[in-house]
Amino acid sequence: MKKFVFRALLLLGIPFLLLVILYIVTDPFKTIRDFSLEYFDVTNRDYLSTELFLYNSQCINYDSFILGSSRCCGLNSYHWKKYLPDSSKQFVFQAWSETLTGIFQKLDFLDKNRYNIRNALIVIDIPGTFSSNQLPSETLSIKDWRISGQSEFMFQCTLCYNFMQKPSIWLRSIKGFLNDDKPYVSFDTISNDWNANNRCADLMAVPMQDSLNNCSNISREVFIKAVADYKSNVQEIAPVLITDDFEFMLIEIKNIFVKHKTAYKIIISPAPWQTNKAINPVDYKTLMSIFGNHVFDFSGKNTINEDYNNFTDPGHFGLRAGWTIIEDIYNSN
Amino acid sequence: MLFNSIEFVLFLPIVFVLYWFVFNKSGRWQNLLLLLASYMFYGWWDWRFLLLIAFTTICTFASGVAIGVCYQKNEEVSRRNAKLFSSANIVVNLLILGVFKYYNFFVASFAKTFMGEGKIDSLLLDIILPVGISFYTFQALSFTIDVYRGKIKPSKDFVQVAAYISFFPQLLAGPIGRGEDLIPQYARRRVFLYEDGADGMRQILWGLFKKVVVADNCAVYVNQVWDSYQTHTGSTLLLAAILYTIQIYGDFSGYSDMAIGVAKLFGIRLKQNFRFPYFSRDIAEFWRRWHISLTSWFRDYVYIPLGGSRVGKWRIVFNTFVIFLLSGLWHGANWTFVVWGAYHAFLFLPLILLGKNKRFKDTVAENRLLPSLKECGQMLMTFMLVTIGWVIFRAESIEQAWNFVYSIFKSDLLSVPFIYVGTKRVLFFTCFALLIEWLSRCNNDYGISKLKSLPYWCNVCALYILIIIILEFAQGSQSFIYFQF
Repeated sequence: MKKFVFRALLLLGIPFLLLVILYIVTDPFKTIRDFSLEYFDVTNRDYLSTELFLYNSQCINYDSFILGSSRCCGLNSYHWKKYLPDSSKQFVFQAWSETLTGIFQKLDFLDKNRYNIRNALIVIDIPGTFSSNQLPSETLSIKDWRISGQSEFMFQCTLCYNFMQKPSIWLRSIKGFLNDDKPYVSFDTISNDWNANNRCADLMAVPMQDSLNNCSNISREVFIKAVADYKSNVQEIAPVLITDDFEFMLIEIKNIFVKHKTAYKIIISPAPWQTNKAINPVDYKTLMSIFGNHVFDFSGKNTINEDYNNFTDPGHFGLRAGWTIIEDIYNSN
Repeated sequence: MLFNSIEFVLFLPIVFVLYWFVFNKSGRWQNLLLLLASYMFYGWWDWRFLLLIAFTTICTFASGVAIGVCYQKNEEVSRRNAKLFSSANIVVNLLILGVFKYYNFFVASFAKTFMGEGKIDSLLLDIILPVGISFYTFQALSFTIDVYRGKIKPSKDFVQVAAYISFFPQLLAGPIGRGEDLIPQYARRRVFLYEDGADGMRQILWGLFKKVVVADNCAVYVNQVWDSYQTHTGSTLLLAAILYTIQIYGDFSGYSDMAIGVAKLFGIRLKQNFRFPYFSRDIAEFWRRWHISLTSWFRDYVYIPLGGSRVGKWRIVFNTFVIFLLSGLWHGANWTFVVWGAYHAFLFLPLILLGKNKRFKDTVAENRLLPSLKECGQMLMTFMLVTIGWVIFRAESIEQAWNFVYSIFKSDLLSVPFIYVGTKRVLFFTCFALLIEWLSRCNNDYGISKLKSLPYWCNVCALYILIIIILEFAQGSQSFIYFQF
């Protein structure tokens, strides 16, 4: 018995300790050391967004925010700036796989910490935004502990646990640590716009970028065919997604906007392939009843969704479509 | 909690340490701990399930005691009473199973046929199917029937019977234990054996590999194709069907391996549930190797009492159909399961009527590395027949099953199937797992059991390699298929 327990502890315990030490020493997700733009990875967009915001807000008075999941990547603060007062300072407060819970927590964080929210764009995607009201624990989507209210210790434990589950990260982190790798910074270090290098090329966004060919689930040809089929098929409607919990959060978001006298727009994102579904009329009615004519629905069949050139991959619209959306929502009034 | 969850990783060592260091004074204390741990494990899903399993346990225990009292008197009346108690327990437990699992199905089918769609909702019950009910109910019935048949003495120890019925490794998805095998084990104090502990850990690891690496990776492809099967080519559908065949095996046998491995850690030996079924040369052999605990249960408690094969031809046909239809129905409340059962009955019947159902009792290519061409052909044929059966099994309706199978042969069967980045990994691990199992097929044990005979350092290396593969390639949580039964 003792031999068994001793060997089990030895065989499993020592590697476990080694991995914990490796995690602390190499800091693979860059969440242990103090924030530095030179030493930053983009593994967790929520953490990056929060760190960048707190770092910059010491000297920049951000007051205009774009909130949402990776669907926000098509919306660019430089487009948005055209419709905002000259003094406004934009920040893309984005997170991968962001849900309404995350959006609400961010606005609540801003409100409680007395940041101004003069302008806001919220991007809702069907069904992602309403997929869960639980806090995610995956590395890419875990919430920053200052936003979620989780303790920093549990936040680090969750990331450490995720680190232990991926042997490929162990090797990369050792390699990165030994080579003192500086990660490629692909975000704007002021506004946190994704794909910073592309922001000047937005109007000439290349249709069907090469990223589609590397898409893990579908080939370019299948996507083009899917969009063609989508155009000819009857529009599918998503089920009702807004539960009582979500409705409560939406009302709280509205209250924050009223308190800050925020000029806001709620955008229901276009996405022709991953969901293929338009927002349910019941959900749309709920949003309208809370936010009134600040809601803009780009889900379902429309000129954006029916042109595959508007997408960088099957789930994300590109900068060209984002520009069209901003023009639309600000010119429609 | 699932075997591959963080909660179980914390739960198991705690129970293990308590079992061997604190509660090891006697078998009774060990049983008590197992009972408490099992109820905690089961209650983790839903505490309401505990009421049902407790009721089943009380009925089973009471009927066992009553039968024992009747047999002590040794009179004809008493023997009749014993039969009455046994039957009563069987009826009560099957009634519970029937209500929770089949009531809505049969009522909906009846109403749809005779009363029209509109009347259905008002007749249905708003109940959830308790996880594992099919498994523990059959295990409880096995106890009662074995007591009635005199194979085991009725136990007067309630904790012993309760621990037997609720033992957490096998509670949710088997293997279905037998009273005559397990009650004697619960009756004595278990002593820890190093070899059992080490073997249990190996088997858990192998089961985990089959489940989270092989089965869950297959599931990603299978689900994607099934969701839009109308748009795919015949070759893609065929690949999806084959991968589902692998998925269900990896899922179920993986769980069984984990259950058996965990049981070994507590000194309880469960029977093997799978013996490399996809290396079967005919359907009869397949059913001797697939879900052995269920098929043997039906054989011993339904088929043989009906007369088995020692009756006239038409009776054999009837008995065979009863077994396979019941087996199909056991799996779920849907006509697809019934059709699946009937499909296998039709495949099995010619063999049994011609007396060829027992021709392959040995292992294929025994003492040889490679099978002969004939054996390859036999295995391939059996595999394809079983694969078609699994299509019916997986489909949501008979119409969908038919459309899927029809579409396989309708178009582009010889074209290149739809491949995405993960497919190559799926195929690699499937081939790897099948190779390991092929090399172990003569051992009559789980896939990597041969490591037992290798030096310690080999075992350690294999352990670490397997852990790394599991960590790196495990898919995010796919539930166990057999939990829905």
